[in-house]
Amino acid sequence: MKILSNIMIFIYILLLIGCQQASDDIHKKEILKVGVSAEYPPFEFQQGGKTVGFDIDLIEAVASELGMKAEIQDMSFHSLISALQTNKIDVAISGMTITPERQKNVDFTDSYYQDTPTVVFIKEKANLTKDLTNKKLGVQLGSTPETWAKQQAKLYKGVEIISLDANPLLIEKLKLGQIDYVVIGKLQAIEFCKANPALSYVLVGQQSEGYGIALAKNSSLTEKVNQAILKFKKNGYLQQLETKWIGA
Amino acid sequence: MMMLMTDSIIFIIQGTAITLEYTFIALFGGVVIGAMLALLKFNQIGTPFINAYISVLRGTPLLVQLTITYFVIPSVLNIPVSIFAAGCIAFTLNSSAYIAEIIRAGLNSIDKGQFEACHALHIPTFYMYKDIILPQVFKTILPALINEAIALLKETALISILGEQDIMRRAQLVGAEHYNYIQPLITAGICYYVLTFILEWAAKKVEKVKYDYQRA
Repeated sequence: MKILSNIMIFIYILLLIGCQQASDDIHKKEILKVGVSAEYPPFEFQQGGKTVGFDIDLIEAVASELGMKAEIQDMSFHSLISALQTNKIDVAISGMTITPERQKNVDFTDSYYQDTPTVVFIKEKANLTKDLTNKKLGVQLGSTPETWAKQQAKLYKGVEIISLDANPLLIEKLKLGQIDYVVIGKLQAIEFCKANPALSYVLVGQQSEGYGIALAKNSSLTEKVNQAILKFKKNGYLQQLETKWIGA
Repeated sequence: MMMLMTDSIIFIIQGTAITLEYTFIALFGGVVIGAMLALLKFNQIGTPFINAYISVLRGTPLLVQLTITYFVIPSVLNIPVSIFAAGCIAFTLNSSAYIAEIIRAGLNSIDKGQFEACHALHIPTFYMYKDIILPQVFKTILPALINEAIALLKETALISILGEQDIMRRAQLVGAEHYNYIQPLITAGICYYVLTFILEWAAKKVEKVKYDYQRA
Protein backbone atom coordinates (compact mmCIF):
# COMPACT_ATOMS: atom_id res chain seq x y z
CA MET A 1 0.00 0.00 0.00
CA LYS A 2 2.79 2.37 0.93
CA ILE A 3 4.75 1.63 -2.24
CA LEU A 4 1.59 2.05 -4.27
CA SER A 5 0.84 5.45 -2.81
CA ASN A 6 4.43 6.57 -3.34
CA ILE A 7 4.21 5.56 -6.97
CA MET A 8 0.93 7.45 -7.32
CA ILE A 9 2.45 10.60 -5.84
CA PHE A 10 5.37 10.30 -8.24
CA ILE A 11 3.03 9.96 -11.23
CA TYR A 12 1.04 12.96 -9.97
CA ILE A 13 4.13 15.13 -9.85
CA LEU A 14 5.24 14.01 -13.30
CA LEU A 15 1.85 14.84 -14.75
CA LEU A 16 1.80 18.25 -13.11
CA ILE A 17 5.25 19.07 -14.47
CA GLY A 18 4.03 17.93 -17.89
CA CYS A 19 1.09 20.35 -17.81
CA GLN A 20 3.27 23.29 -16.89
CA GLN A 21 5.65 22.90 -19.81
CA ALA A 22 2.89 22.41 -22.33
CA SER A 23 1.17 25.64 -21.35
CA ASP A 24 4.46 27.58 -21.45
CA ASP A 25 5.14 26.60 -25.04
CA ILE A 26 1.78 27.85 -26.28
CA HIS A 27 2.40 31.45 -25.28
CA LYS A 28 5.63 31.83 -27.24
CA LYS A 29 4.21 32.00 -30.79
CA GLU A 30 1.23 33.92 -32.00
CA ILE A 31 -1.43 31.27 -32.14
CA LEU A 32 -4.98 31.38 -33.41
CA LYS A 33 -6.84 29.02 -31.10
CA VAL A 34 -9.52 27.30 -33.16
CA GLY A 35 -12.36 25.30 -31.68
CA VAL A 36 -14.00 22.61 -33.81
CA SER A 37 -16.34 19.74 -33.17
CA ALA A 38 -14.87 17.07 -35.40
CA GLU A 39 -18.12 15.21 -35.89
CA TYR A 40 -19.34 16.77 -39.11
CA PRO A 41 -17.73 15.37 -42.24
CA PRO A 42 -16.74 16.60 -44.74
CA PHE A 43 -16.38 19.91 -42.90
CA GLU A 44 -14.42 18.53 -39.97
CA PHE A 45 -13.71 14.99 -38.95
CA GLN A 46 -10.92 12.80 -37.67
CA GLN A 47 -8.90 10.79 -40.10
CA GLY A 48 -5.93 8.77 -38.94
CA GLY A 49 -5.83 10.67 -35.66
CA LYS A 50 -5.80 14.08 -37.38
CA THR A 51 -8.61 16.58 -37.71
CA VAL A 52 -9.20 17.36 -41.38
CA GLY A 53 -11.89 18.84 -43.60
CA PHE A 54 -13.20 21.88 -45.44
CA ASP A 55 -13.33 24.05 -42.31
CA ILE A 56 -9.84 23.03 -41.22
CA ASP A 57 -8.29 24.01 -44.56
CA LEU A 58 -10.24 27.26 -44.53
CA ILE A 59 -9.26 28.31 -41.02
CA GLU A 60 -5.61 27.44 -41.63
CA ALA A 61 -5.67 29.67 -44.70
CA VAL A 62 -7.38 32.42 -42.69
CA ALA A 63 -4.76 32.12 -39.95
CA SER A 64 -1.84 32.43 -42.35
CA GLU A 65 -3.63 35.43 -43.90
CA LEU A 66 -3.56 37.01 -40.42
CA GLY A 67 0.06 36.00 -39.93
CA MET A 68 -0.86 33.50 -37.23
CA LYS A 69 -0.73 29.77 -36.81
CA ALA A 70 -3.96 27.85 -36.33
CA GLU A 71 -4.09 25.48 -33.40
CA ILE A 72 -7.05 23.12 -33.65
CA GLN A 73 -8.81 22.06 -30.49
CA ASP A 74 -11.57 19.49 -30.69
CA MET A 75 -14.55 19.67 -28.32
CA SER A 76 -18.27 18.97 -28.30
CA PHE A 77 -20.47 21.29 -30.36
CA HIS A 78 -22.23 22.64 -27.23
CA SER A 79 -18.93 23.64 -25.67
CA LEU A 80 -17.87 25.84 -28.58
CA ILE A 81 -19.84 28.95 -27.63
CA SER A 82 -18.90 28.74 -23.94
CA ALA A 83 -15.29 28.29 -24.98
CA LEU A 84 -15.50 31.46 -27.09
CA GLN A 85 -17.11 33.45 -24.29
CA THR A 86 -14.43 32.42 -21.83
CA ASN A 87 -11.58 32.99 -24.32
CA LYS A 88 -10.53 29.35 -24.34
CA ILE A 89 -10.53 29.67 -28.12
CA ASP A 90 -10.32 32.67 -30.48
CA VAL A 91 -12.57 31.36 -33.25
CA ALA A 92 -15.02 28.49 -33.66
CA ILE A 93 -15.54 26.94 -37.08
CA SER A 94 -17.71 23.88 -37.20
CA GLY A 95 -20.33 24.10 -39.90
CA MET A 96 -22.08 26.52 -37.58
CA THR A 97 -25.20 28.11 -39.02
CA ILE A 98 -25.55 31.83 -38.44
CA THR A 99 -28.70 32.24 -36.37
CA PRO A 100 -30.08 35.30 -34.53
CA GLU A 101 -30.05 33.31 -31.26
CA ARG A 102 -26.36 32.57 -31.55
CA GLN A 103 -25.63 36.14 -32.64
CA LYS A 104 -26.83 37.32 -29.25
CA ASN A 105 -23.88 35.55 -27.68
CA VAL A 106 -21.14 35.56 -30.31
CA ASP A 107 -20.02 37.46 -33.41
CA PHE A 108 -20.25 35.79 -36.79
CA THR A 109 -18.32 36.43 -39.97
CA ASP A 110 -20.13 36.47 -43.30
CA SER A 111 -21.11 33.02 -44.44
CA TYR A 112 -18.52 30.98 -46.28
CA TYR A 113 -20.82 28.17 -47.35
CA GLN A 114 -24.53 27.91 -48.11
CA ASP A 115 -26.33 24.70 -47.36
CA THR A 116 -29.60 23.43 -48.84
CA PRO A 117 -32.14 21.74 -46.57
CA THR A 118 -32.60 18.14 -47.71
CA VAL A 119 -35.15 15.55 -46.66
CA VAL A 120 -33.89 12.03 -45.96
CA PHE A 121 -36.38 9.16 -45.87
CA ILE A 122 -36.56 5.36 -45.98
CA LYS A 123 -36.87 4.21 -49.61
CA GLU A 124 -39.46 1.50 -48.91
CA LYS A 125 -41.77 3.84 -47.08
CA ALA A 126 -41.48 6.47 -49.77
CA ASN A 127 -44.88 7.80 -50.61
CA LEU A 128 -43.41 11.21 -50.98
CA THR A 129 -46.20 13.69 -51.15
CA LYS A 130 -45.67 17.32 -50.52
CA ASP A 131 -48.22 17.03 -47.75
CA LEU A 132 -46.49 16.96 -44.40
CA THR A 133 -49.66 16.82 -42.30
CA ASN A 134 -49.14 14.80 -39.11
CA LYS A 135 -45.55 13.96 -40.01
CA LYS A 136 -42.66 13.85 -37.59
CA LEU A 137 -39.61 15.78 -38.80
CA GLY A 138 -36.21 15.25 -37.21
CA VAL A 139 -33.75 18.15 -37.36
CA GLN A 140 -30.50 19.17 -35.74
CA LEU A 141 -30.82 21.82 -33.07
CA GLY A 142 -29.95 25.29 -34.38
CA SER A 143 -29.39 24.21 -37.97
CA THR A 144 -30.61 25.74 -41.23
CA PRO A 145 -32.97 22.80 -41.82
CA GLU A 146 -34.56 23.49 -38.43
CA THR A 147 -35.59 26.92 -39.67
CA TRP A 148 -37.03 25.31 -42.80
CA ALA A 149 -38.92 22.70 -40.75
CA LYS A 150 -40.42 25.42 -38.57
CA GLN A 151 -41.72 27.17 -41.68
CA GLN A 152 -43.33 23.90 -42.81
CA ALA A 153 -44.94 23.48 -39.40
CA LYS A 154 -46.82 26.72 -40.04
CA LEU A 155 -48.07 25.50 -43.42
CA TYR A 156 -49.27 22.01 -42.43
CA LYS A 157 -51.29 20.76 -39.49
CA GLY A 158 -49.85 18.43 -36.89
CA VAL A 159 -46.22 18.64 -37.96
CA GLU A 160 -44.06 17.59 -35.06
CA ILE A 161 -40.44 18.76 -34.98
CA ILE A 162 -37.93 16.70 -33.06
CA SER A 163 -34.69 18.59 -32.48
CA LEU A 164 -31.65 16.57 -31.47
CA ASP A 165 -27.99 17.42 -31.05
CA ALA A 166 -26.38 15.07 -33.52
CA ASN A 167 -27.35 14.06 -37.03
CA PRO A 168 -26.31 10.40 -36.60
CA LEU A 169 -28.88 10.08 -33.82
CA LEU A 170 -31.59 11.40 -36.14
CA ILE A 171 -30.69 8.83 -38.76
CA GLU A 172 -30.90 6.03 -36.17
CA LYS A 173 -34.33 7.30 -35.14
CA LEU A 174 -35.41 7.38 -38.77
CA LYS A 175 -34.27 3.80 -39.30
CA LEU A 176 -36.26 2.72 -36.24
CA GLY A 177 -39.35 4.39 -37.67
CA GLN A 178 -39.68 6.82 -34.77
CA ILE A 179 -39.69 9.77 -37.15
CA ASP A 180 -40.89 10.07 -40.73
CA TYR A 181 -38.31 12.38 -42.25
CA VAL A 182 -34.96 13.79 -41.31
CA VAL A 183 -34.20 17.27 -42.62
CA ILE A 184 -30.46 17.94 -42.79
CA GLY A 185 -27.92 19.69 -44.97
CA LYS A 186 -27.45 18.40 -48.51
CA LEU A 187 -23.91 17.10 -48.03
CA GLN A 188 -24.71 15.16 -44.91
CA ALA A 189 -27.79 13.73 -46.61
CA ILE A 190 -25.71 12.44 -49.51
CA GLU A 191 -23.15 10.86 -47.19
CA PHE A 192 -25.75 9.25 -44.92
CA CYS A 193 -27.49 7.73 -47.93
CA LYS A 194 -24.16 6.33 -49.14
CA ALA A 195 -23.59 4.70 -45.75
CA ASN A 196 -27.18 3.43 -45.47
CA PRO A 197 -28.42 1.96 -48.77
CA ALA A 198 -31.99 1.80 -47.44
CA LEU A 199 -32.19 5.58 -47.36
CA SER A 200 -32.79 8.14 -50.04
CA TYR A 201 -33.06 11.91 -50.16
CA VAL A 202 -34.68 14.78 -51.96
CA LEU A 203 -33.65 18.43 -52.01
CA VAL A 204 -36.16 20.88 -50.65
CA GLY A 205 -36.22 24.58 -49.98
CA GLN A 206 -33.86 27.30 -51.03
CA GLN A 207 -30.35 27.99 -49.96
CA SER A 208 -30.72 30.06 -46.84
CA GLU A 209 -28.48 31.12 -44.00
CA GLY A 210 -25.01 29.79 -44.39
CA TYR A 211 -22.17 28.62 -42.20
CA GLY A 212 -20.13 31.28 -40.48
CA ILE A 213 -17.03 31.46 -38.34
CA ALA A 214 -17.92 32.43 -34.77
CA LEU A 215 -15.83 34.74 -32.60
CA ALA A 216 -16.27 36.15 -29.12
CA LYS A 217 -18.58 39.18 -28.93
CA ASN A 218 -16.76 42.33 -30.10
CA SER A 219 -13.61 40.37 -30.88
CA SER A 220 -10.86 42.43 -32.49
CA LEU A 221 -10.36 39.63 -35.01
CA THR A 222 -13.86 39.60 -36.55
CA GLU A 223 -13.13 42.28 -39.13
CA LYS A 224 -9.81 40.72 -40.17
CA VAL A 225 -11.29 37.23 -40.51
CA ASN A 226 -14.15 38.67 -42.53
CA GLN A 227 -11.73 40.34 -44.92
CA ALA A 228 -9.85 37.08 -45.34
CA ILE A 229 -13.09 35.27 -46.20
CA LEU A 230 -14.02 38.00 -48.68
CA LYS A 231 -10.62 37.60 -50.30
CA PHE A 232 -11.04 33.82 -50.55
CA LYS A 233 -14.47 34.30 -52.09
CA LYS A 234 -13.01 36.58 -54.74
CA ASN A 235 -9.89 34.61 -55.60
CA GLY A 236 -11.80 31.34 -55.87
CA TYR A 237 -10.17 29.58 -52.93
CA LEU A 238 -13.55 28.77 -51.37
CA GLN A 239 -14.61 27.27 -54.68
CA GLN A 240 -11.44 25.15 -54.70
CA LEU A 241 -12.20 23.91 -51.21
CA GLU A 242 -15.74 22.97 -52.24
CA THR A 243 -14.38 20.97 -55.15
CA LYS A 244 -11.76 19.32 -52.95
CA TRP A 245 -14.03 18.26 -50.07
CA ILE A 246 -17.52 18.22 -51.50
CA GLY A 247 -17.08 17.46 -55.19
CA ALA A 248 -19.36 18.71 -57.89
CA MET B 1 -24.82 -2.58 -42.33
CA MET B 2 -21.12 -2.14 -42.77
CA MET B 3 -18.78 -3.39 -40.12
CA LEU B 4 -16.39 -1.18 -38.23
CA MET B 5 -12.83 -1.36 -39.44
CA THR B 6 -10.11 -2.74 -37.22
CA ASP B 7 -8.22 0.54 -37.06
CA SER B 8 -11.37 2.32 -35.89
CA ILE B 9 -11.78 -0.20 -33.11
CA ILE B 10 -8.13 0.18 -32.12
CA PHE B 11 -8.58 3.96 -32.18
CA ILE B 12 -11.44 3.64 -29.68
CA ILE B 13 -9.53 1.19 -27.47
CA GLN B 14 -6.60 3.62 -27.30
CA GLY B 15 -8.90 5.91 -25.31
CA THR B 16 -8.66 3.43 -22.45
CA ALA B 17 -5.37 4.96 -21.31
CA ILE B 18 -6.97 8.40 -20.93
CA THR B 19 -10.05 7.03 -19.19
CA LEU B 20 -7.87 5.09 -16.74
CA GLU B 21 -5.61 8.08 -16.16
CA TYR B 22 -8.53 10.24 -15.01
CA THR B 23 -10.06 7.40 -13.00
CA PHE B 24 -6.94 6.61 -10.99
CA ILE B 25 -5.94 10.22 -10.38
CA ALA B 26 -9.47 11.07 -9.23
CA LEU B 27 -9.72 7.94 -7.12
CA PHE B 28 -6.36 8.48 -5.45
CA GLY B 29 -7.02 12.19 -4.87
CA GLY B 30 -10.56 11.40 -3.78
CA VAL B 31 -9.40 8.89 -1.17
CA VAL B 32 -6.79 11.30 0.22
CA ILE B 33 -9.13 14.31 0.44
CA GLY B 34 -12.09 12.13 1.41
CA ALA B 35 -10.13 10.54 4.27
CA MET B 36 -9.10 13.95 5.60
CA LEU B 37 -12.67 15.25 5.42
CA ALA B 38 -14.02 12.10 7.06
CA LEU B 39 -11.49 12.29 9.90
CA LEU B 40 -12.25 15.97 10.47
CA LYS B 41 -15.97 15.37 10.45
CA PHE B 42 -15.61 12.31 12.69
CA ASN B 43 -13.77 14.43 15.22
CA GLN B 44 -16.33 17.21 14.84
CA ILE B 45 -13.91 19.77 13.43
CA GLY B 46 -15.42 22.21 10.94
CA THR B 47 -18.48 20.03 10.53
CA PRO B 48 -20.76 22.70 8.97
CA PHE B 49 -18.19 23.48 6.25
CA ILE B 50 -17.59 19.84 5.44
CA ASN B 51 -21.32 19.18 5.37
CA ALA B 52 -21.81 22.06 2.96
CA TYR B 53 -18.91 20.85 0.77
CA ILE B 54 -20.29 17.33 0.58
CA SER B 55 -23.84 18.51 0.10
CA VAL B 56 -22.96 20.81 -2.82
CA LEU B 57 -20.65 18.35 -4.57
CA ARG B 58 -23.07 15.48 -4.24
CA GLY B 59 -26.08 17.64 -5.03
CA THR B 60 -25.00 19.12 -8.36
CA PRO B 61 -24.43 17.23 -11.60
CA LEU B 62 -20.82 16.39 -12.37
CA LEU B 63 -21.36 17.86 -15.83
CA VAL B 64 -22.07 21.24 -14.22
CA GLN B 65 -19.03 20.97 -11.96
CA LEU B 66 -16.82 20.08 -14.90
CA THR B 67 -18.12 22.99 -16.97
CA ILE B 68 -17.63 25.41 -14.09
CA THR B 69 -14.09 24.19 -13.46
CA TYR B 70 -13.11 24.48 -17.10
CA PHE B 71 -15.00 27.58 -18.27
CA VAL B 72 -16.05 29.71 -15.31
CA ILE B 73 -13.20 29.50 -12.79
CA PRO B 74 -10.44 30.34 -15.31
CA SER B 75 -12.25 33.45 -16.54
CA VAL B 76 -13.18 34.65 -13.05
CA LEU B 77 -9.80 34.03 -11.42
CA ASN B 78 -7.90 34.71 -14.63
CA ILE B 79 -5.75 31.57 -14.45
CA PRO B 80 -5.28 29.14 -17.33
CA VAL B 81 -6.80 25.73 -16.66
CA SER B 82 -6.08 22.94 -19.13
CA ILE B 83 -8.66 20.28 -19.94
CA PHE B 84 -6.53 17.77 -18.08
CA ALA B 85 -6.32 19.92 -14.95
CA ALA B 86 -10.04 20.75 -15.07
CA GLY B 87 -10.91 17.07 -15.39
CA CYS B 88 -8.60 16.03 -12.55
CA ILE B 89 -9.89 18.75 -10.23
CA ALA B 90 -13.58 18.18 -10.95
CA PHE B 91 -13.43 14.39 -10.76
CA THR B 92 -11.22 14.41 -7.66
CA LEU B 93 -13.40 16.85 -5.74
CA ASN B 94 -16.58 15.08 -6.78
CA SER B 95 -15.36 11.65 -5.78
CA SER B 96 -13.86 13.02 -2.55
CA ALA B 97 -17.36 14.01 -1.41
CA TYR B 98 -18.69 10.50 -1.91
CA ILE B 99 -15.59 8.83 -0.50
CA ALA B 100 -15.66 11.07 2.60
CA GLU B 101 -19.08 9.71 3.46
CA ILE B 102 -18.00 6.13 2.76
CA ILE B 103 -14.99 6.49 5.05
CA ARG B 104 -17.06 8.20 7.75
CA ALA B 105 -19.43 5.23 7.69
CA GLY B 106 -16.41 2.97 8.11
CA LEU B 107 -15.16 5.04 11.04
CA ASN B 108 -18.58 4.84 12.70
CA SER B 109 -18.47 1.08 12.43
CA ILE B 110 -15.38 0.89 14.69
CA ASP B 111 -16.26 0.11 18.29
CA LYS B 112 -15.94 3.04 20.67
CA GLY B 113 -13.99 0.81 23.03
CA GLN B 114 -11.04 0.77 20.66
CA PHE B 115 -10.66 4.55 20.86
CA GLU B 116 -10.94 4.40 24.65
CA ALA B 117 -8.36 1.63 24.79
CA CYS B 118 -5.97 3.71 22.67
CA HIS B 119 -6.39 6.68 25.00
CA ALA B 120 -5.85 4.47 28.03
CA LEU B 121 -2.63 3.14 26.50
CA HIS B 122 -1.49 6.69 25.57
CA ILE B 123 -1.17 5.82 21.90
CA PRO B 124 -0.67 9.10 19.99
CA THR B 125 -3.69 10.00 17.83
CA PHE B 126 -1.70 9.76 14.57
CA TYR B 127 -0.56 6.21 15.26
CA MET B 128 -3.97 5.25 16.59
CA TYR B 129 -5.53 6.12 13.20
CA LYS B 130 -2.63 4.95 11.06
CA ASP B 131 -2.00 1.57 12.67
CA ILE B 132 -5.26 0.63 14.36
CA ILE B 133 -8.36 2.42 13.11
CA LEU B 134 -7.84 3.10 9.40
CA PRO B 135 -6.65 -0.41 8.42
CA GLN B 136 -9.89 -1.78 9.82
CA VAL B 137 -11.90 0.96 8.19
CA PHE B 138 -10.46 0.28 4.74
CA LYS B 139 -11.17 -3.42 5.05
CA THR B 140 -14.80 -2.73 5.89
CA ILE B 141 -15.40 -0.15 3.20
CA LEU B 142 -13.53 -1.89 0.37
CA PRO B 143 -16.71 -3.03 -1.44
CA ALA B 144 -18.16 0.48 -1.22
CA LEU B 145 -14.91 1.97 -2.50
CA ILE B 146 -14.87 -0.39 -5.47
CA ASN B 147 -18.43 0.69 -6.16
CA GLU B 148 -17.28 4.29 -6.22
CA ALA B 149 -14.31 3.41 -8.45
CA ILE B 150 -16.60 1.76 -10.98
CA ALA B 151 -19.02 4.69 -10.94
CA LEU B 152 -16.09 7.07 -11.36
CA LEU B 153 -14.66 5.08 -14.27
CA LYS B 154 -17.87 5.54 -16.19
CA GLU B 155 -18.40 9.14 -15.12
CA THR B 156 -15.04 10.12 -16.64
CA ALA B 157 -16.83 9.78 -19.99
CA LEU B 158 -18.11 13.31 -19.30
CA ILE B 159 -14.64 14.68 -20.08
CA SER B 160 -15.50 14.00 -23.72
CA ILE B 161 -17.63 17.16 -23.88
CA LEU B 162 -14.46 19.22 -23.45
CA GLY B 163 -12.85 17.26 -26.30
CA GLU B 164 -10.47 15.02 -24.39
CA GLN B 165 -10.13 11.91 -26.50
CA ASP B 166 -11.24 9.27 -24.04
CA ILE B 167 -13.12 6.12 -25.05
CA MET B 168 -16.43 7.95 -25.37
CA ARG B 169 -15.20 10.87 -27.48
CA ARG B 170 -13.33 8.49 -29.78
CA ALA B 171 -16.50 6.48 -30.28
CA GLN B 172 -18.36 9.67 -31.22
CA LEU B 173 -15.63 10.70 -33.64
CA VAL B 174 -15.55 7.30 -35.33
CA GLY B 175 -19.35 7.35 -35.50
CA ALA B 176 -19.29 10.71 -37.25
CA GLU B 177 -16.53 9.74 -39.65
CA HIS B 178 -18.25 6.55 -40.82
CA TYR B 179 -21.88 7.70 -40.50
CA ASN B 180 -22.42 4.73 -38.23
CA TYR B 181 -23.39 5.53 -34.69
CA ILE B 182 -24.33 2.28 -32.98
CA GLN B 183 -21.27 0.09 -33.54
CA PRO B 184 -18.69 2.54 -32.14
CA LEU B 185 -20.91 3.02 -29.08
CA ILE B 186 -21.13 -0.73 -28.54
CA THR B 187 -17.34 -0.94 -28.88
CA ALA B 188 -17.02 1.77 -26.24
CA GLY B 189 -19.49 -0.10 -24.03
CA ILE B 190 -17.40 -3.27 -24.29
CA CYS B 191 -14.24 -1.30 -23.39
CA TYR B 192 -15.89 0.08 -20.25
CA TYR B 193 -17.26 -3.32 -19.31
CA VAL B 194 -13.86 -5.00 -19.65
CA LEU B 195 -12.32 -2.31 -17.45
CA THR B 196 -14.95 -2.65 -14.71
CA PHE B 197 -14.73 -6.42 -14.96
CA ILE B 198 -10.98 -6.23 -14.28
CA LEU B 199 -11.66 -3.88 -11.35
CA GLU B 200 -14.21 -6.29 -9.89
CA TRP B 201 -11.86 -9.22 -10.35
CA ALA B 202 -9.00 -7.37 -8.62
CA ALA B 203 -11.33 -6.34 -5.80
CA LYS B 204 -12.34 -9.96 -5.23
CA LYS B 205 -8.68 -10.98 -5.01
CA VAL B 206 -7.97 -8.23 -2.49
CA GLU B 207 -11.01 -9.13 -0.43
CA LYS B 208 -9.96 -12.75 -0.36
CA VAL B 209 -6.49 -11.79 0.92
CA LYS B 210 -8.13 -9.63 3.56
CA TYR B 211 -10.43 -12.45 4.60
CA ASP B 212 -7.58 -14.95 4.95
CA TYR B 213 -5.62 -12.38 6.89
CA GLN B 214 -8.48 -11.80 9.31
CA ARG B 215 -8.85 -15.51 9.94
CA ALA B 216 -5.17 -16.04 10.61
